[in-house]
Amino acid sequence: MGPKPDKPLSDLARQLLVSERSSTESPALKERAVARAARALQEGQRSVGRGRMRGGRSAWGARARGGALAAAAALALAGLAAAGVRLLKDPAAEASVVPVTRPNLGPTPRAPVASSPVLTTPPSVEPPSSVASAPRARVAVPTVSAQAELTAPTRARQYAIELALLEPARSGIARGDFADALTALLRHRREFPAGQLAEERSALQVRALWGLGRVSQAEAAAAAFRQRYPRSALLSWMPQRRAPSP
Amino acid sequence: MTKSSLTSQPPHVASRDPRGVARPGSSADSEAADCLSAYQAELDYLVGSLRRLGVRSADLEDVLHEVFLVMLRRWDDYDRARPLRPWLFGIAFRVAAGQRRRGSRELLIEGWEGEYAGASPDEALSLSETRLLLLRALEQVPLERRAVLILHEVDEVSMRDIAEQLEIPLFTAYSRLRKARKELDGALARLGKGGNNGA
Repeated sequence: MGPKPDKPLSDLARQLLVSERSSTESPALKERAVARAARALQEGQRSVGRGRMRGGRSAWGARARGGALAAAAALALAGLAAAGVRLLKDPAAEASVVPVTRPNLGPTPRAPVASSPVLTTPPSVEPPSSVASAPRARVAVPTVSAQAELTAPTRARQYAIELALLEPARSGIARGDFADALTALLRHRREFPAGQLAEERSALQVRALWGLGRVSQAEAAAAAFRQRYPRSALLSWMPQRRAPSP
Repeated sequence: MTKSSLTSQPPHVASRDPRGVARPGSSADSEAADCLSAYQAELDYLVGSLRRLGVRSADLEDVLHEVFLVMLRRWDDYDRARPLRPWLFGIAFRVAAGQRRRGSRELLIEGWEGEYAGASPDEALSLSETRLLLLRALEQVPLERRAVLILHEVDEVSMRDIAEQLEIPLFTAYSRLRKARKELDGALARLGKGGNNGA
């Protein structure tokens, strides 16, 4: 046996890496990948679209024209069709967008961390026994065209816009619609990656992941949050961190 | 660390003669179908591995397809008695390394915001802020050391199997793991102290 590593990983690193074990990828991406592979088998294709990779020996290419292989590839494609899989992105599947009502842009001091306006609902700390499967109501996500209209947004105005963007996440969490909450959080992150409410956004993300039952990801997110915001009380609802699974 | 628990063969992997010879009656076409089935079943793992090896979202589908073609070419070489994932990771690692040698853009820290651009909601769910934090930190670990770290800490592969799969001496594998751990911790500490934009 070889020498042992002399220093273990930090808890944060270990949690983040462990959470990778349960990571899943976009179903649409996987569907496109399978369809492309199946087509490659049917066509005997050997090179990638951009021509960066040289094909292999031609022997399998000739075999690929065999009837059994063509049938297997066709079955893979048919399976995708039977599942109602759309291989192209459907813009209609994106969240609907409605104009945001311009908020009262009076001076609004930033709320203290402990009483953040976006975290008023005490969460249930018990993760669900299964991932929520309730029908997802379409949630109106405010556009940030208000942001674009303002040529020189003041700090207070930006705060109000951020608040409006995070409201769907907060309300989604309150009614148990955690997936839609994550969608709203993503939108906030796109528009205000380093916004005034970045801390609240990160805390809401932990909550949403927890609500979806993605406990290891929630714990990893919480560990990262605590490192970045060591004095924050926004995760005080969360139970003590459990030891990472071996 | 425990050995990889991925020792049982997934149902999509056809059994074969221990010498690696296809059983009489099986066809090369069914082998290719087996390969496609295995590829489909392991897509989460393959995509995740490629991300952890630094492949950007914009390049992911092409690189993934490249991995599939290599799988297909080498499917006859795969020893069914061994776990599938370390073998797949070895392919993914070599393909990702080849892409990097061909001059694909290194993923700059400030370029990470582009990973969200145009992402559909379900794609964005797989790129949570926490995950991006880890991927950005991994980017600061050299690829050869990163591969050992991922295989050991994420995939729970034994060091002996890692050394065999990456074709390096066991001592080298341990050395790379030690250094990679230190580099990852350092990167996370730097990123966590305001080195990123809106974690």
